[in-house]
Amino acid sequence: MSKTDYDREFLIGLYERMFLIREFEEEVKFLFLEGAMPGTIHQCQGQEGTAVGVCSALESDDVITSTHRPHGHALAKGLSPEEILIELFGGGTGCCKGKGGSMHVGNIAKGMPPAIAIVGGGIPLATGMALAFKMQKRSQVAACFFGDGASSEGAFHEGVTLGAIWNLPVIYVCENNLYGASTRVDKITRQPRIADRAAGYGIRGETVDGNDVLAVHEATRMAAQQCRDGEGPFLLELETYRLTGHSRRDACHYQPADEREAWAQRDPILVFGQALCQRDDVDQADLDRIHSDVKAQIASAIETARSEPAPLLADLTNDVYA
Amino acid sequence: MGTEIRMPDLGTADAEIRIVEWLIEVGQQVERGQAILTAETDKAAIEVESVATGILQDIRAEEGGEVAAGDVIAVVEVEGDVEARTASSPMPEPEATAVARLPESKSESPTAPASTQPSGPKPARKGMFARNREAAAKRQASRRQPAGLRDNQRAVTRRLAQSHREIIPFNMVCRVEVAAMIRQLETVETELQRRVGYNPFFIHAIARIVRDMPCFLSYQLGDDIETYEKANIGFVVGFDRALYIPVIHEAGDKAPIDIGREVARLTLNAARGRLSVDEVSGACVVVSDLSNYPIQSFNAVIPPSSSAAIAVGGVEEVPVVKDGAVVAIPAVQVTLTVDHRVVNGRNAAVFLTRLKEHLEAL
Repeated sequence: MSKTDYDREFLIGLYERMFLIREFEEEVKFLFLEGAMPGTIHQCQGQEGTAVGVCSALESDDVITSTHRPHGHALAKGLSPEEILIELFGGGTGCCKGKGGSMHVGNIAKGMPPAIAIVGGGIPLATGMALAFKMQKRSQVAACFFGDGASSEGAFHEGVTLGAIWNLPVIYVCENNLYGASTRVDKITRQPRIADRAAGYGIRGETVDGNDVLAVHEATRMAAQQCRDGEGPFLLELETYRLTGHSRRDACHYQPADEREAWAQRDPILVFGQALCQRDDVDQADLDRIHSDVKAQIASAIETARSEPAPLLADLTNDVYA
Repeated sequence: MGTEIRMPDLGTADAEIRIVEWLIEVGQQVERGQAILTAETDKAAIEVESVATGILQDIRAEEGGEVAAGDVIAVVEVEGDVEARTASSPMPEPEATAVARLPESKSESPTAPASTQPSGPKPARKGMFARNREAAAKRQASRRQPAGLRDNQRAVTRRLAQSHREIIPFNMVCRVEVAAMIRQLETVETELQRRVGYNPFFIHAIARIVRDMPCFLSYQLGDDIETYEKANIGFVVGFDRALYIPVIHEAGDKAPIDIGREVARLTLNAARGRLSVDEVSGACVVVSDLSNYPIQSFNAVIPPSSSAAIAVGGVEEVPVVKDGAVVAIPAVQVTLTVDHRVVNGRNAAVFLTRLKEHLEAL
């Protein structure tokens, strides 16, 4: 990691945002266990490096699309913990006015249309947004998050094919966490290196350590620049691991204990925190201060979210278009 | 003060959740996030984490019992300072030094449509458990209750279907004379003061035989073959609307009378629905004994993760030629069903031959 080339505040910001995501997910887990939080929830503990690495390399008017596991993407793209938490509680003041819930958080004003829980569903959508950017001659980029499982969906083939033939400014970001729900990636494809498929579409692809937030940032910045230069799209595969179940009801028995332990040692927050402390101008006290500030921020957001009112019956057909 | 720990909503249906095992005892320290018990849902066994830090004061749900999501299962004595941590904290001022390229995500007031913004302090929303229970009660009231299956029986039906889909069954029948076994059984049942049937003898004999026949200790798991280290033998216990396969662990090391004692205990536990996961796991071969009925022979279903099933038909007197004369001898038809993916025909024949020899020489 070429950490010395970066501004201290920027690096601290990356760390803080990853920790914010982790703390958010941990507190949501306890809200679910207490029965305060409705529905099942797909969490991203362990994958913070991908969300923060990608979004930190985008401009604020660039857009992302997300999946059934969207909390980290949303926080990384700049949604506030409050607007997401209220949405998770089904509150009428949430980012989707309580009608989206955990799997559909988003805020178009912040460059994130509501997440799409259908596996692979964001790929054609991101391609379409990138087509709009190109036709309107704007310099924006669409970054499209999806998982290893989605790469075998028809939507992947259709979306990437169109993106490729039209040279669209879209970064297809595959978060390869080795499992589509409980199915290991090598059980669904003979080519588990997803980025290698780029060659088949005639586009560029790269595999990066998704738990190295700076590596992800750099790869995304380069891919985004290529897209802005009219040389998109780009297939970016980020190798990462989910340190929690596919959903809150998943006991994760399919992850071998030694594999889980090995990836826990590569926890993106742990690794980046250690790297930061190698710098002369960062020490553990700085990180501890971030931890306590973030914990207070999340606790406060939860207090707010708990008491937000549910949508009214009168709001039922508002914002419904079809 | 005590914090009530409730069973999380871990199932996929409105199903009861069974408490398999408590991992801590009353009086012990427990940390938020620590696994405190194992529960079994309609989907899987899963560890449940504590939502509070403190001393475990009380356990309200016994092992083996079933609870619904939202039921209080334990109470944790929480220290004062821990409680203060979860109370609302002042919101931090946004830092002036914003991060260069990261989008802003500091706390901000949610913007509400005017119609939904109440004035004054807001009441906490009703919890999800309460809302789920109300919805479930409404559904119950509006429909006739179907003849539902208990949770563990749902698991049984799923496993039966899995067996039917995956296992390649292959049958072989053999007549076993039971005069010697009948004499032994009288001794055992007199000693134990209860009926245990032929199960103990079959279990003991099978466990001895499979020690030298590793294919019977194996089962197919996906593309791989898994092998048990110990010869644990299951036996089928059927009730009016429930089916269990308790397991006698390392049955080859136990005398038939001791196996008989375990069979009686496990059968009683099964009747009460109180078998632990350990007591129904790890059988390499299972026995189904219907020798009390006038059934000539039948095929038993092999559970997934077993290699074979033995079906014992009814005892009948059959004519047998002994020393040139026809005599009537009590016998049963034993049907061996093997999973042909792990056991071949020759091995099945050798197994049945040894079983017959062992049981007739008791």
